[in-house]
Amino acid sequence: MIVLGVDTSCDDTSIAVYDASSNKVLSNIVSSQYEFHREFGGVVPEIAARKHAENIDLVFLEALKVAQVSPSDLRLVCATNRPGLLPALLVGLTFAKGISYNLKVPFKAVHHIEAHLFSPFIGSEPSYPFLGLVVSGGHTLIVLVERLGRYKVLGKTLDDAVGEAYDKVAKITGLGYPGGPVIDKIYRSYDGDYLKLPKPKVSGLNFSFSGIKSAVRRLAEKGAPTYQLVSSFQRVAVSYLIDKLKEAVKETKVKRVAVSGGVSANSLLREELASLGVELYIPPLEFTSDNGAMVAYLGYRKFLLEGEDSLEVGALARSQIT
Amino acid sequence: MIKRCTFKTKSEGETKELGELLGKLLPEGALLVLKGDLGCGKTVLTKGIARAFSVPEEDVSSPSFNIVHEYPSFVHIDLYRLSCSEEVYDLGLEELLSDERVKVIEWGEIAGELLENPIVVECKDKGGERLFKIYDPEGKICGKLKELWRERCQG
Repeated sequence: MIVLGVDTSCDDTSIAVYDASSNKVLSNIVSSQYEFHREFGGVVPEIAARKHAENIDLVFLEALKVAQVSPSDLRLVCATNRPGLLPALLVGLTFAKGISYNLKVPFKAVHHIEAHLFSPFIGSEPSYPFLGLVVSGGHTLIVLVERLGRYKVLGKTLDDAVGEAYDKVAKITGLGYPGGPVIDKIYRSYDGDYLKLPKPKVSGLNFSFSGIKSAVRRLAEKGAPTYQLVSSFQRVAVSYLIDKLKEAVKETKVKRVAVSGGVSANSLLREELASLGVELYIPPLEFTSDNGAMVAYLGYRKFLLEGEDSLEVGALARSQIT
Repeated sequence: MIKRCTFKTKSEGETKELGELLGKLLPEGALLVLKGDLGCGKTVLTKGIARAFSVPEEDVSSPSFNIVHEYPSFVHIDLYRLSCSEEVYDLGLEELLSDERVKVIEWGEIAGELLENPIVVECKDKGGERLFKIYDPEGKICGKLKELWRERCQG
């Protein structure tokens, strides 16, 4: 069964073709990583919904071409409809509905964060229960997944997401956008002492990153060397994530952990996770940031569980996973 | 009519209290622009404002990445990632800006003329203390807010 997955919830236009029968992703096209996308000076993210509208048919055709399938092979169309930037979401959602209507194949709406949660299992089947840690530019949360469709949010960020903290620290120190990869690279090359940065004290399994960000800004204003400053930031941010995850494992006694989202590409985080002594699932790099493959993978499983969605389903800017 | 006023807070808790009092004084459809450096307390103040609209403060996080966070009675917008006012139109924000909900906008400078007569709050981190300077073109907020802030200190 060939499944299409569409995600336009934020900056990237992404479409994937997934073969559910063999559990293989046949193609996964992400606009910002593709050459047909115009140059944007390397610093400014493409946000405008208009850009999604310009990209989406090209991304769709490329996804079919790479997967070597034709539209008539598609048996299910899935798209992210929540949460995200409304005008952006609507481009992908409307496009997907159009394809579903035209081909007379079922349509399934997908929750973006739920898709991230399951992305570490693409190519295999999830085992339950597991603890999901989603770490990205827009989200930071720990979720207990009891089974498909049954979730308990154990903690979330009360202010900035961890990926956002990376971007803002990079901005403060003049390293440009996005902050994650460049700070990780500097951390790898840095071997000096570390500056002391405060670990935020937030009760339970919630997170806070704005205090670390402010501390970085104050130190930058006092002239702290950039490499030392951002390396110290990465050290404390990752150790904070690990502390919270350990606490969640202790509290729930669930020792199966799935980490996802753009920040799961971070090398120090991966290293620390590997030494946690849990059964760890982490997606290959291409499925860490927003992608259509996770939408197709989850959409197919939700379709089997709940059946198709009406084409009248709308887009939602905010939505908790339930 | 007082158009300008300044408040000093000594903790996150106090900043939230100030936000809540301010939130209660905002008229329907008000546009409030928050200015100031990264980490000066914009999101914390917004958590307080959210309280005035019965939005649980733990539900209010930074909208930098998602740009818009909508709640039933108020909208939290962050234009940090935008680079020109054209993008503001592309996002369809002008529709959002004209509804009856109160809008709190971080990094609103980029929106330029789209924001008509906003109430502006500028924050500064003074090493532990935070200063919030309010500029209210209609002069309807400062007088009352100063009164409420004083009462709170005495009570």
